[in-house]
Amino acid sequence: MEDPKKELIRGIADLFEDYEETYVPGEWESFSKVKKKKYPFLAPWLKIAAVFLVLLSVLPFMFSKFFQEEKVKTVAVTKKSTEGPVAQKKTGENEKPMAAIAANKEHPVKEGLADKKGDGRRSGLAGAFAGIDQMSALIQPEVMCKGQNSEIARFSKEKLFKEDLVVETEGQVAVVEGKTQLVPSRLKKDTVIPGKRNQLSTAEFLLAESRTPVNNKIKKNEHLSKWDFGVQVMPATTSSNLNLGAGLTTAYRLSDKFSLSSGISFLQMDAGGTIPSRGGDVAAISTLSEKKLTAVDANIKGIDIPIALVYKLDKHFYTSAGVSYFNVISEKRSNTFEQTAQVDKQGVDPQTGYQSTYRTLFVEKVDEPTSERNLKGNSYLGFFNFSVGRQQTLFNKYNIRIEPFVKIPVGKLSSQDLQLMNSGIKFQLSF
Amino acid sequence: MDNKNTMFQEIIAGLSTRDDRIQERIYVHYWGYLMGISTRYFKDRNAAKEVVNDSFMKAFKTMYDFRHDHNLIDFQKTFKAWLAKITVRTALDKIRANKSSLTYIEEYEDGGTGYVEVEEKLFAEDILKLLHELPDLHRTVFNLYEIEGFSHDEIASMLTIPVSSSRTYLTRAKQKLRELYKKSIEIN
Repeated sequence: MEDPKKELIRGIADLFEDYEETYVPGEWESFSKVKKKKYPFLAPWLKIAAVFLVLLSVLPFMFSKFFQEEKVKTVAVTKKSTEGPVAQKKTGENEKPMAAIAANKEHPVKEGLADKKGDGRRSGLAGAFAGIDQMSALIQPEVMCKGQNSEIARFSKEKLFKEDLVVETEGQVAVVEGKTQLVPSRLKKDTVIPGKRNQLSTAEFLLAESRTPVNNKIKKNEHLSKWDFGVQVMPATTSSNLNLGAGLTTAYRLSDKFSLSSGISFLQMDAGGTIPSRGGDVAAISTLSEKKLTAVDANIKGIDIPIALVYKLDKHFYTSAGVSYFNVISEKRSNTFEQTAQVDKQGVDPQTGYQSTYRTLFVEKVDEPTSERNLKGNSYLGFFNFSVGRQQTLFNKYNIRIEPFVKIPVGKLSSQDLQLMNSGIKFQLSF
Repeated sequence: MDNKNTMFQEIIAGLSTRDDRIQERIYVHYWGYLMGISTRYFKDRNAAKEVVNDSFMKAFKTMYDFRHDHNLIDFQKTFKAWLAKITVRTALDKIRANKSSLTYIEEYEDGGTGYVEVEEKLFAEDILKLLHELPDLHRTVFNLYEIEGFSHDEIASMLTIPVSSSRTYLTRAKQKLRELYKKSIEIN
């Protein structure tokens, strides 16, 4: 019971504390409808969105990797003026490897010394120089990051001609005593001495001169090799027939490991589907005549435009996943019917010799071409494509690829009574 | 009572097994309660319904992770309070979305209506009518403080207004309600 002497505000608070309206029938039903209608167009596109989501989540990773590769790998070499017969002698010996280094950027400076000496190679390297006593070099390893490079560049100009040689790599500093006339080319990978060009020795000059065009060349090659064009044939089988396709392919290299491939192919597919019988023979006998559809065969010609992400497993093997848009340009269908008819047959009874008439069921299979064109112009998405391949380089220019694949129909194609899932082997020649 | 207990047991079981079928039971059982809350904030019944349905949507998404100690009485209280909290916050979101309603405040004179006793039994419909005559911001502060039990600090942060404003609006809302109540008594 409510206290009549209660203060108004207290009364209102108490009144509404557990206040409830009565439930109006039908509210749940209308709520359920609203809940379902919330995203009416989402469901059919969910799979497609998922594919794009996966692609989008992978792309930034690939691009970051791709840009990291673009960073310049710098090697700073310092030299000091030295004199002595050993240095003179060494120069002659070292000219050949120097040229080799200049011609090939990838010439492993570390291989000669560092690989042999293992992890303690930096301090060991300094020691080795000291032992030689005539050579000095500052080697910046390939792995050094950009910040370290700038540091080396900054100090190299000032310290080049000082008495002591400083070898600085990743926080380690080693001081090498000694005087050298020339930097041994075997230990040099690259030379960056801004503003000191006119003071370079002959060997360094040659090295610097030869380095520039080579680098450009390498850059050009890298640029060109990002695109890859080719032709392909792809015999494939569905569950019932053998098919053939051919087309052009292109691929864009996103990073060392990933590339994006696309192309256009003409596909001819013979596909079939069997219709499960309903009721069986008993039902057939009960009717006088019946025509049952037992199988559908179709010959489909279409254009397949795939887009796929290719992941390079190692030098030779790669795997790829993607989707392809499939546009049917021609479709021929034939239906196979099982026709059951009741026929009267006359025969002679072998025992009595009289002619007798008896009824029998006559079953025959009939193939009929049909004018139905269920697929033509209707397909909005074709297949999910998965493949694993092996590539072999020919004459350093061409690539031959052998790629087993499987194509799984999606979208409208998958709902057809035809078994369109197919697998085969792609043979590609790219250049 | 037994039926109610059975229903709550079913709800608890449904929550633990993530059974979607309990949604209907929860909706039907709590719809009236949540409508009661929502209509205190919105004069427009459709807006109130919309808030209730949005609250149920939010609740249905997260209720399967609702923590409770499997005590039936505690569960009833905490689950109801949880739904009420969702509804209040959803209502505030809607009010905030319609921000202009919070900016306009009708100024009325400070009168001497300090204490009014309830003369006869209060009916929710009548009080709701009085509440809806208050400016939106005053009504919201009144609901949050007097009925929902939030502090002025909490209200200030929820409505992004100064604490002093919250106190002022509450005082004005009470004063206006008393005036309106007295008027309605006099008319009757």
